Amino acid sequence: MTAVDVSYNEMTESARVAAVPLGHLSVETGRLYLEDFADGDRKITHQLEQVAPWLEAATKRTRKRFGRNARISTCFLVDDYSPSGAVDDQPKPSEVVDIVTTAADQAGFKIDYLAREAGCAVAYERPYSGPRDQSALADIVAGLIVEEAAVGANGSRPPTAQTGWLSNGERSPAVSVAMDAPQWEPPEEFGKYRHSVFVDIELWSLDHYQQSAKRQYSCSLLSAVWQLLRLGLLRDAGDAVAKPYRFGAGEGFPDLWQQLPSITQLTPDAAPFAAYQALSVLPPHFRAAEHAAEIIVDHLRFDKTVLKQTADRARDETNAVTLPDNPAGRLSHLFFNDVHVALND
Amino acid sequence: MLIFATSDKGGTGRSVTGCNMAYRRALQGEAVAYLDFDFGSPTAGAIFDVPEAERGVDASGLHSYFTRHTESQQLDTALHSDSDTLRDLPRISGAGRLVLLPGDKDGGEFSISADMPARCAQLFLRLDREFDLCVVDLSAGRSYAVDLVLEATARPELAALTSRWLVFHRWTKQHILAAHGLVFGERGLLKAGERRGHDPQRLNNSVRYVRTAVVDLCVDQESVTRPAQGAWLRAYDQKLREQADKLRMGRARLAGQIPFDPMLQWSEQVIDDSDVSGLKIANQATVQAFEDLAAKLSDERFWEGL
Amino acid sequence: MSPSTTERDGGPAVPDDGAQPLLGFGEVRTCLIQNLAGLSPSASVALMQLTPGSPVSKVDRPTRRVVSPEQVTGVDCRLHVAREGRGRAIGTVLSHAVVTNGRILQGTAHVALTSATAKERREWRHYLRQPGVIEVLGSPNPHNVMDGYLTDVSPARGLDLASISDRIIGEVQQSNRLDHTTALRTGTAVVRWAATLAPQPPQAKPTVGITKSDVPNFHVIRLNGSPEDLPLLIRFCEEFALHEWLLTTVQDVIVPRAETDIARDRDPLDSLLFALNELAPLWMPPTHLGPDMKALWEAMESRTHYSRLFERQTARIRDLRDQVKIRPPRRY
Ligand SMILES: Nc1ncnc2c1ncn2[C@@H]1O[C@H](COP(=O)(O)OP(=O)(O)O)[C@@H](O)[C@H]1O
Ligand SMILES: [Mg+2]
Repeated sequence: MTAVDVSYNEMTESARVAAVPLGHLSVETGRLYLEDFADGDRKITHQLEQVAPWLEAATKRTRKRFGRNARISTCFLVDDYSPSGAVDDQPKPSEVVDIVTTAADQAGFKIDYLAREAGCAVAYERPYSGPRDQSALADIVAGLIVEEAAVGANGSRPPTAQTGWLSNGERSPAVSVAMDAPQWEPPEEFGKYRHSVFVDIELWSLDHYQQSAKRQYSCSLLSAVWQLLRLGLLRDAGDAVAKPYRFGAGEGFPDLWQQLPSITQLTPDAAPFAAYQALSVLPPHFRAAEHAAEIIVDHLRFDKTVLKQTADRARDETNAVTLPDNPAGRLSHLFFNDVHVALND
Repeated sequence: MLIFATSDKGGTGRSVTGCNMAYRRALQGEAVAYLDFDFGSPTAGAIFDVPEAERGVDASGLHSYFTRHTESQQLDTALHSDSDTLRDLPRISGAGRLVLLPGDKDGGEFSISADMPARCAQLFLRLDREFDLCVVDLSAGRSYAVDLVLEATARPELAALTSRWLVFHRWTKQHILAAHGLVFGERGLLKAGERRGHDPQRLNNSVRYVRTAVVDLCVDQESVTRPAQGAWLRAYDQKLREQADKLRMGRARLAGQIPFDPMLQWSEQVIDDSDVSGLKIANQATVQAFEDLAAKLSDERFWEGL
Repeated sequence: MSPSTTERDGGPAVPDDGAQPLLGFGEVRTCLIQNLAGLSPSASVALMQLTPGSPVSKVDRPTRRVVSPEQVTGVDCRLHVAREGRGRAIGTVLSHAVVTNGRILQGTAHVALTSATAKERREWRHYLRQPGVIEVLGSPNPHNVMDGYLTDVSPARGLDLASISDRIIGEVQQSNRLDHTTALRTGTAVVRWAATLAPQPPQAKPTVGITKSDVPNFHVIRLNGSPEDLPLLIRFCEEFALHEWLLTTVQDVIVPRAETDIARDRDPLDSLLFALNELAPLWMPPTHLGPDMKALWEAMESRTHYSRLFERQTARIRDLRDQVKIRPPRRY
């Protein structure tokens, strides 16, 4: 009698990864604080008016390359992560939506998706979302960071990203040992060309006075989360996250701003929120945080299945889209502000 | 259990007493680790007679564990010591291991970086998984080492471990005052502990005192020749006791009193019964005092709140 | 690093995503979880959730095994090469933790070494695309690289997988999900392994050789297999480490302690029962994991006779238990 080898498969959970709908282009048309809406429509009107011609140009170019049916969507991000005022003073969702749609109409286009920055820290899938349908997106992205190895790093030392900082190079040594204090040395960018542009990014801070020190995420990290959502690259245990929510016909907006989902779909026939390419048209003061976000994206280890899924989808389009293999290569920015307009306050 | 050994001044006998105390616990069957946290001048290697750690090791000592993130060496004294007493330990039925975590030769004090308290807590947790008792020999006075362990022991992951403090001092007016200052002073242990999240009351309840190299008037009769001298010494001893009582360092908080021993005065080492009965170079009272001190470490009634 | 001529004979098929690995290195640490009670299945899963959003994998039979998502650590260092030759290793090391039956914690660091795909260090995202792969610049002989790794000491002169596996243990043991109470005082056992990887003829099975070093609680394993065998080899080393730890704990810690306790009239029952109830059921050779694992395990058993030794120790523990039950110690 011969023994029969029975092979036994231990994998309990198949590596199932959900796909998300993808368009060709996602255009971010602006970013404002929630408090800005309390002052009415002045800021957003100005921003959308400035964006209009660039949006038109981007639309034209995308249609030219990928056909008349290229899927293009627009979005607007409201920074409500650390609101300064009381909850009661916050504008209501219906008020904000009104202001946004009216301003967009005036500028001559539509805004398809309204997003919350707090919804990038923790994804709220639905209005009145409870802990069950939330995903800690900022925690997830922070957990995907793999610091670039300095020359000589052999694994002995723990990564410093655990301390809440990520850099694109080697820091100037600062550990002071009483007996042998090191000579000062400059920081150095990894892979620099002659000279360094060294960037050190604060990912989060901790309120040390609070016992339950909770991470306060930086706008750099939250912006990285935002851009990754727009590229359709984030998953929570394989599930899609922060899927846009469309309020039904008879369904009113919630009363409180925090009860709004992460992403609200404003137009019924919008192209997908996430896209092969994401363009942000923003005033120049966002430049530093966006640069930081891009560095963060460049230090993430992505789920191979998600990357492959996206690349395959793109290749299978009627007009095949070839994606660069680094996700940051799918992000574009246009920093612009009319110089002749003084908008001081 | 974690025992932190500290003193206000150097040369009090903290290391010699601590090493002997650790040895007695190992004899009784416990697995004991001795951690040389006297980063500036590690001497435990010399007391345990471990040649490669005489003045600290070349690499992978506790200093580099913190500053260079290397693993910390664990030297089993039964294998690494030249002392017969320590080499014979495994041959004594039921005895535990006595392991030295040495300092580094070119150590020196270092300032505490943000990740060190967590790393220190990690070390204590790891040792607690393996050893019944860890004796941590701290440097004298308010050093970074003291700050480091205060910060580490305030962390929640060490809350389940028993941490106790022994403050070593000589039996003189100045030394009693200094030891008192180390615990109760403005920059003392309790204040520093409170700043790091310790409850000062509880912390104070975990502090006991060890008097070292105390002249024993009954034993040292040769050196006390004149009656007047004896009378004066007895009276002064009484005065010191009163001073200690007043400073909350009296009998109730006395973990041990180690007699002055001429042999230890000259040779910092671990002694055992053979040094007393065989060669008769050490005093029986000294060994007994180490034994009593070792027993006190786990005498729960003695450590209950006062 | 270039494959030696004998290894080239198989004509390694190079997939388009990079060169085939020539060597696999790893280190496994095994210890008891610092918690008074064993962890429930859900507590084990929560403890292993080291990366939010990445799934923890869990198997319930024959023993409950919960594995954390892989952690990624970047490295760029010189290799510690035995005899002659130099090499620079650039890439990422993977590490994960395993909880078995809510009692035993293992920390594993592992890596696959390939020849470099460029003459210099490349952009970081290139290495991020192949987690767990280290590219070797220079052309040291793989055998020298392997011997160098296996004989490196602390502090590591080359790749420090020891620190990485130690760190993952330290981090898990520090978790606020544990009560940090030591249920039984035991050491941490270390297994360091290296595998020569080369495409094998279809019928060939991976092979194994094990050495106990003079450092206490330290074993060295050498393996052979094809590049696809790497996950199997990693698992084999973890299973070996777990069983080796069980045997050492029972034989060198529990039995001698109980014997002294009895001699000194102290109660040894707690640790005897711990061994019988908590440790003995974990002896579960992984032969159900397929013919290759079975072959590896049996090759190991035929040399070490671990199962028989463990059986003998548990029998001794039962004897001691019965002895104590009949004549309880005076101080009991
Ligand atoms: N019980 C004792 N009797 C006599 N001398 C002692 C005694 N204990 C320690 N000494 C001596 O005191 C000196 C300092 O001891 P040591 O343990 O190194 O002190 P510390 O660690 O406090 O600096 C040593 O030279 C030692 O010989
Ligand atoms: Mg000393």
